[in-house]
Amino acid sequence: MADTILEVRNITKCFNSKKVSVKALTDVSFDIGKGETIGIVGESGCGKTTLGRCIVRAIEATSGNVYYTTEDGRRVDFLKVSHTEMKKIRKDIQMIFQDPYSSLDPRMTVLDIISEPLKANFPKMSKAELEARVVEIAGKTGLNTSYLKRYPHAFSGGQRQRIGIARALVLHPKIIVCDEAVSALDVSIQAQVINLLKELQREMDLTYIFISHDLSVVEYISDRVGVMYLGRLVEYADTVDLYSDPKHPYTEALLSAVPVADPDVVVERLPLSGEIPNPANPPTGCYFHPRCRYCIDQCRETSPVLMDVGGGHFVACHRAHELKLKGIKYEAVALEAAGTTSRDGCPEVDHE
Amino acid sequence: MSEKKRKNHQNDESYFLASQWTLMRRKLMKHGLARFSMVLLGLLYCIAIFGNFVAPSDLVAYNAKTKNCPPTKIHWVHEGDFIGPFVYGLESERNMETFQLEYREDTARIYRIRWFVDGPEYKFWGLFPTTKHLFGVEDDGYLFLFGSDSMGRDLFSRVILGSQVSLTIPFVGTVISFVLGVLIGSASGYFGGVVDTVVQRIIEVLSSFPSIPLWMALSAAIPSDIPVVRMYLYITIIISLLSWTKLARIVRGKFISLRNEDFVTAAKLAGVSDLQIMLKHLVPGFMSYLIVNLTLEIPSMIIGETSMSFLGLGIRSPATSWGVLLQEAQDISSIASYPWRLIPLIAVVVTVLAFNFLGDGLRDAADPYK
Amino acid sequence: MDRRTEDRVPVVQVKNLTIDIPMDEGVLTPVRGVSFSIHEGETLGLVGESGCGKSLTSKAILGINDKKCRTGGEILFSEADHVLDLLKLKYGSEEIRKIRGERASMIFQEPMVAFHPMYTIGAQINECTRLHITSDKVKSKEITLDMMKRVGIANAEKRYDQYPHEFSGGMLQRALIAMALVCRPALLIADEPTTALDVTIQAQILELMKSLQKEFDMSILFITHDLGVVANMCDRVAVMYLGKIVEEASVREIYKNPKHPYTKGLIGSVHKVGTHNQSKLFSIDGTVPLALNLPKRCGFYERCSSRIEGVCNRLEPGRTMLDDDHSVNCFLYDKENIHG
Repeated sequence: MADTILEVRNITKCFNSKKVSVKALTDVSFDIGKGETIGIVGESGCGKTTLGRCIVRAIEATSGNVYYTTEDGRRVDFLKVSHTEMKKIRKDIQMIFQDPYSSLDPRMTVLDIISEPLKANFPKMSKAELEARVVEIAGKTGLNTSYLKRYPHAFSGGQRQRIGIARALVLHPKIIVCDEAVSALDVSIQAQVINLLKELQREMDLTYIFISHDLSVVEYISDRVGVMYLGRLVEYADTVDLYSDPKHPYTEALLSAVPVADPDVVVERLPLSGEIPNPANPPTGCYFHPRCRYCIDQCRETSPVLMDVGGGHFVACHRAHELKLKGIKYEAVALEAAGTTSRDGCPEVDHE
Repeated sequence: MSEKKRKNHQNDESYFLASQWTLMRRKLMKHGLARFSMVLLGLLYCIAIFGNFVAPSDLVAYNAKTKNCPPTKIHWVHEGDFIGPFVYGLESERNMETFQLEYREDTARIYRIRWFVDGPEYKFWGLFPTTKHLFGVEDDGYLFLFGSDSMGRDLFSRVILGSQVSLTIPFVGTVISFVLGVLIGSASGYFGGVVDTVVQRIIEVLSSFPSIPLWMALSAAIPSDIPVVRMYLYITIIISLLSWTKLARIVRGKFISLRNEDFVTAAKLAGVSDLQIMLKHLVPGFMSYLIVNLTLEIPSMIIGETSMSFLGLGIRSPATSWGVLLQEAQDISSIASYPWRLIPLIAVVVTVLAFNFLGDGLRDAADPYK
Repeated sequence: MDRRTEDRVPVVQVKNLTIDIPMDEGVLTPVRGVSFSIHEGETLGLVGESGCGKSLTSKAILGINDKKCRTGGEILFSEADHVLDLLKLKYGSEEIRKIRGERASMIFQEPMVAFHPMYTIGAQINECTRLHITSDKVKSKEITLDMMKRVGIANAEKRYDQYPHEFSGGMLQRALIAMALVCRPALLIADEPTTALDVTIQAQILELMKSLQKEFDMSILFITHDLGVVANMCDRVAVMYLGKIVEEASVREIYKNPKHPYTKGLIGSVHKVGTHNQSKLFSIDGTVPLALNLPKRCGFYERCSSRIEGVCNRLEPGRTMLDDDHSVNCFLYDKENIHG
């Protein structure tokens, strides 16, 4: 059983402008075990990117906590630590970005880009040592080390993404937030990068928060998956559990829409009516109720809370217990294999 | 297409190793007009720097005998014999109908044009007194390449000596507005909030003033009896005080857009300090745009100085700038009878165009990744 | 599902299409001899990674490529009584404009930029109706509204007078489809029509396209890089790599029995939902080379794991028919020509 490394608690983020206040995130809570990969899926505007940026503190959450258990076993609130403490643990939580073009400064050589975090954290490090560290990490990420003196414009998208990964890893972080890290890449390059991420995870004992809109990539890479809708986490469970036995009507609809790369698989589509509501003016009660086919009166009035319906499967739906929803049909072999491998990577979590 | 064009260099290792500045320079060199302009401007500035040496005459060589003399013809051959460049002697006669001096060549006298002749004494760069000039005529011949003005002074010398003022004021002014623009613009973009609002309002107020009346007001405040150098400084400051606003706006906009780039977030997450991020990512990021804008700003400063002097508000005679020369040429008789006195106008146009072409080339080159 | 039958006429036949673009550094050849045909009522998927030339190929059919592209080959378009070579028509001529929009039309990846922000959606769709169908104001508005309803725009009357910014991405794509289909074209070219959309919206749009295809009996050229979408939408698939079609077959054949090493790699590198396969994804090494001054050899040579040294790097493979419906450009299946 892995220990919990990160506890995300009631993260709320409001974007205020003069006229309106938009809640991009509402009370998002979940736990992440050490060495796990958590997939966060949802459609554009659901707040998944904002969540990732709040966790790494690229933007400040309006309220909430992110408890991080450090290497030496202390539990600190990453969002509220003192300045000196922050200096020590900042490097533990890093990020990989979506756009391999805007995430690298075009005016710096690859060596400078990868060594920048080192320079910032270890100002006394000698030049030779700096270079040795960079070469080591570049080798790990599959970059040709003879290209370190080049500028980013010399590289293709996939190679640029490797540079971004090397920069995130050079400080030996514990947790990496991958924000749509493979979405901008071509299919064959995507596979290269995903394989690399998995390899690095094993080698460097990393924990991933993998944010993506691509449900098949998330299924492949994640141990557990959280589904977001309009700034809320609506379901959070083991990957196979969630994909084969969704408990939230939105998850069901999302899964039915996934195009499967197999012409023989005929999926029964459960089309969602309507569009995602404007987050500045969300519906009452359950945010999903105007589009939900199982909506009852209660859904229009009260907002459901995320709760455990058994086996670490969290759902925010009033009718979670009674509904029988369709998921992806797994082959029996796959289910069996999943039941024995992925479940023990998941800690029991008590949710507030 | 540009994406493909960029990739075309893929087999070129030096392209991979080239920094942004190298790429910019390469792209600029491909721009023919910009390259030509650069050479031309280089030449003009060289002439300005060595102005006293290049100009055969000085600013105070009044001569009543050579008033409004047209450009002197340079001859090579005298009565069938080749004797190198020379001028004939100058003979003047008053036309009793128009009461104007008319000039004729006196072919009996020959004055050869020579290199490094002695002329009026000056201090080279204000340091060593010397009488050597690049070229000139021997003895007491007259050489007016661009003709002479109403006080018999050589216009060519005055255009060259005037360029010392007209070409350097914009440079000094640019430096001042560059510093102001970068400081104020980045403060505005970095701090945001109240600072930003206040700075933006100030910029709006400043740039809503009509410039000519403002110049008039400001230069009216300059006492008329101060030395030329001080006057020069004041005018520079007046011009740059008004032109930093544009730059500050550009810097602020670029600052804000760069601040949201992923690579800045990445640096922040890696624990790089704010100051380091500014110095390493933000400032180099907008520097190329800034240089482009500065280059495009210079012509408007040249015109600014010229128009101030033209209005009689800037440099005053005997100190000379192109504006002063044009002001002297502004009456109708000079256009009708002495068209050569408009030659300084050509100098202004050529310089302004050259700066604009160079700016164009720089703008195309500024973003070598597109 | 429609199966290809021999007696059906192809709506469009592309024969040995080449596109090259002169550059400072040489000639770029993004499309290097592409041939395919699309039959009536059929959906052909053109699949490939970015830079393989699939978009340029589709744009060549409508003659909307950049003017500096030099195009060679033939694009035969079947009209009721005759066949027209679209490449022989002059850029911007009356005939090509008539084909464009009326007989063949296109929808794009970014519906947001396909509409002018200053005109209402209705006016923009109606422009097409007025241009090609009827100049009668009342009638054309009727036709436009009818088409807007058919593509599933609720409240069409109200939506008619709204501006693009009042539409969501999915609705805009529907409006774009309405605009493309208002003249009932025989061929619809869809260039990554759902790439910019969310999964649930994507599913809606794909369903819509399928039902409209049946309703209007049109052919679709579906360009995408998403193998999941292809499996869902297409009858036949042509896989493009570096400006060439490397394999063409029915959709089932491509997924179940891929032959070309590139197709195999492409299919292998996509994780299939519902398998929970945790083994390493298959991935193709290296990156796509640039189509500039390409040497005479198989375009996939550098990245291919089953290349035959001495053959694949010296010769360009031609098309080999494996059976009636499955062709591949690879020497692994073309033993006779290895020495020729």
